Amino acid sequence: MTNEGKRARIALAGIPNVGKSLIFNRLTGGRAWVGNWPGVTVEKKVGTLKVNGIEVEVVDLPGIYSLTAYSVDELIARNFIVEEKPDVVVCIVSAINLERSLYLALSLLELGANVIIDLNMVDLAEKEGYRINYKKLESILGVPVIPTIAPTGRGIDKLKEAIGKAIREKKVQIRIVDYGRIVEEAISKIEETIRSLAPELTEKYPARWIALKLLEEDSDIVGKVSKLPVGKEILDKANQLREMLKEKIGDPESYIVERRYERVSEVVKAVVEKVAIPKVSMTDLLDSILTHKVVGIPFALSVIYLLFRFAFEVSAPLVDLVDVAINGYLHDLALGIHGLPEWFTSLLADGIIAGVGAVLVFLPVIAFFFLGFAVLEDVGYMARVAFLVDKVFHKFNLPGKTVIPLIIGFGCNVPGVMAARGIEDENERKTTALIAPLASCNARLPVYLVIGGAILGAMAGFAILSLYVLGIILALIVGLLLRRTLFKGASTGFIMELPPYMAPRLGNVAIKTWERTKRFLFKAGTVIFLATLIVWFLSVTGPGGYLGPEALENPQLIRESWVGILGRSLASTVFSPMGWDWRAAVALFFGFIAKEIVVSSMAILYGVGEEKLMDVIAENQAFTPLTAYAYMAFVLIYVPCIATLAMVRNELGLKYAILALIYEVLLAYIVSLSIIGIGSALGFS
Amino acid sequence: MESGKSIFKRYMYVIIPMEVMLGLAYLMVGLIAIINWYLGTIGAGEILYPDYVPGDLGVSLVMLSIGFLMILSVYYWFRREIMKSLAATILGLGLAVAAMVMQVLVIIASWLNSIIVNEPITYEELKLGFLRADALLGYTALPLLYVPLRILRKTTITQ
Amino acid sequence: MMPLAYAREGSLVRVSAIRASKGLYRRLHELGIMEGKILRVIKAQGPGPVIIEIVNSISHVYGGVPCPYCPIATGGRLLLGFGVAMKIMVEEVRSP
Repeated sequence: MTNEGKRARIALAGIPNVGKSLIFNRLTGGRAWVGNWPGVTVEKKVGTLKVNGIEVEVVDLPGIYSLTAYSVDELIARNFIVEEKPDVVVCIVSAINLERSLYLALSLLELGANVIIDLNMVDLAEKEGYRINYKKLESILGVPVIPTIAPTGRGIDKLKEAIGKAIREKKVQIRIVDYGRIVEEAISKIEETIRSLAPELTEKYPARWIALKLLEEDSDIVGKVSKLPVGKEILDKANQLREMLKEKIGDPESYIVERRYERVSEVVKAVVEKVAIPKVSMTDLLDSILTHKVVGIPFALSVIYLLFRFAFEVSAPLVDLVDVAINGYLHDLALGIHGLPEWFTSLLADGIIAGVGAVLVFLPVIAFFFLGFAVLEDVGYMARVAFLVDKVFHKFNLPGKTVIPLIIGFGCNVPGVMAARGIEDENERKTTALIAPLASCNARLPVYLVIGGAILGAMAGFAILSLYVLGIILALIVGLLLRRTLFKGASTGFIMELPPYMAPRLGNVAIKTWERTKRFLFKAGTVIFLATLIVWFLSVTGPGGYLGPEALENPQLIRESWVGILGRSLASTVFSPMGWDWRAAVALFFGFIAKEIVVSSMAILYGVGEEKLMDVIAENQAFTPLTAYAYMAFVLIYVPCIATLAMVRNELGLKYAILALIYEVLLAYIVSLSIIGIGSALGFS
Repeated sequence: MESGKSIFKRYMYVIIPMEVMLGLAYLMVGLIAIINWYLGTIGAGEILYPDYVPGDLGVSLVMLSIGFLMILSVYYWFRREIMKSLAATILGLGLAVAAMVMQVLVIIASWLNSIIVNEPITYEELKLGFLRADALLGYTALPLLYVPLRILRKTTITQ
Repeated sequence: MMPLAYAREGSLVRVSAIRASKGLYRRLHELGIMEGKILRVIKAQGPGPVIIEIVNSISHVYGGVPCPYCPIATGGRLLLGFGVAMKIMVEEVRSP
């Protein structure tokens, strides 16, 4: 995005959980353009603000703790500030997390940015019994400090004013931290070297900052310097000084970080004033139970159960509404249109409308699920769930945080895979993205219900529950395997900030729900829609030519279509040890494209509407309880919809997407075969 | 740690006995639910209290958790760990109310559903839904929440 | 000296050493956990993951004893997984 048409540009920075998203919304009125930072899968949010007649572009930088070169997010933020040179960087500091917020603020100042500080959550600090003298903070740091309370909007106008002012009057505070005589001398020497040998560099970065980074052995800066013709000289000088410092004060990087934190402590001491004796913290109070090993787990499981109830049972009227409206009313309406060729009305009714219906019928459940999940997330409870499972997950060399993408995956695998981004360690993130598809998503449920209901009767509920559990167990086992082989690495460990419990904020919840539901609707949705069309086409045509829409209702006819032939060949070869018939095989094949299709394609193959499907399957005795269970397990494990594969490719690359495909099909085959084997040995038919 | 809100301590003499009763009630319902589930899967015909307790493992889990929390609260109270007792009370009652609300929502949803698919649902069925054990016990739990929440507000910081 | 994973709930500990890979070390540092810092152990069921808060100059002392539930201002709570907590060595400075 270029700067055309806008008169100014600012960036929003801050550590996680300081209310940055809310501030962004307050400033931009919620109008944001969402995309990706170039070359990476990190989200970029841009909005506009009008102040003093100037139009200002507001760029939301990723939430980061510092500006090192160790993480993609930090590099993005750093490079944006240095290359795009925003007119102002608004650093959002949380009044209840001062130290860490200010550490980032100092880092931004050292980078030479034109910083103004938004001191957010001052009301919460007041509740904890202290107040921050922001005027004093302003004089110490030398940049404007504006207190705000984001949820109510207090202070936002002053913030906008301050932004307008800062665009005109730039303040820079590069020397905000004093590193002690010895190090300062080293810094000056490097600065001199840089200024004399490569002055062009100082146009981009402050010389002092480069010096600091060289002493810290910042890989990004070292790389950039080494590319200069005079680079080697500069680097040699820097290394020389580094070695000297190492002897005198120890590892320069650690020293520098410590010294920054000392400065932060000094500042905090000077500006915080106690106002009242704080009372007990509700968060700690509740956490004493919620994070308790024994009590916390049943509570968490209960909450998840209630979440599922909410998603499935409370959304039922909407689901049926969609079903009746689209698969019933619209469908029949389309079929009744006169004057158009038969194949066209069939395409319209059984292809397109059925396709749209297949997607929309899942929408309420998924939306409700994500809504409930977002509420739990916003309240802060999800972090505690991660804490509870951490010890168990640790045995599989995975961080507790992995549980969150898995739970999201229960709604829809597509946002579940995407949620793996939240895990910092490369190896752990890749592993999580690859095992997330094993979470039994919503789309698989109809298959369980129809087949389980038809064949297993009363045991169906238990069988379905066991499948959900099986999914998690397999995810952990595969995760461990991956961590032992492809993604080896010591567990860098799980570190997470536990936000205080807060009442859920409607805006935040709505945004999160919409973003995840959107993934389903657009990514998965389009795939499912196309898949339905393909199924339709392959069902009404065959090697003998066009069979006509009667094929959709006549089981004899459909045997002759492409679909039927495919099914029969699969059933007699690959799936023969499982004892599944050709219809089941075909359904599996289409399920490869989208699990949502399995039930509807089965309905077509039996020539009945979906309501009668269960009875028909039971009558036909196409499955025995054992083969039915094995079938359900296969559906659980084998490739999730193509949309999920696409997401895996998005996050990890083509190589891993193919790997996911292969391992899941193999695993599914092995597991269902084993089920049949063990079952037979135990005497089931 | 001082928390000298004696007025509210007196209320605790109401809450704690209620928690004992409710806690036991929830535990019992939870156990019956498991029994009913088992009876359902082996197809043994009659289940216990079919109008009130479903044979559902999930419901049983929630009931047992709530009962456990309430008993835990009483336990902490007698060990003089007042804050933990308060926490357990709030969470136990909170979960109870959540389960009740969920059941109510589900019944309302099924009523809406019956209108949409044109399979009318009888008044009897609705009534039974609203009177199911998890809802019933939840109605009792709801007013009890007032006391611990009041104490919470006076003695803690809510953020 | 013991790993943070074994610290007692409600105690104050001082970080004496961090035995971690460069990456983890840096991350901990960046979050304010370094040698010499005093941590308040909010939640611990040892050995296992812990919830801590970094005690700073505004630590709240209530009648001479740090109140186990009183929030110590300014710092956010950090949850450290089991693996991480095993790599941070601490000494108990005040018992629960």
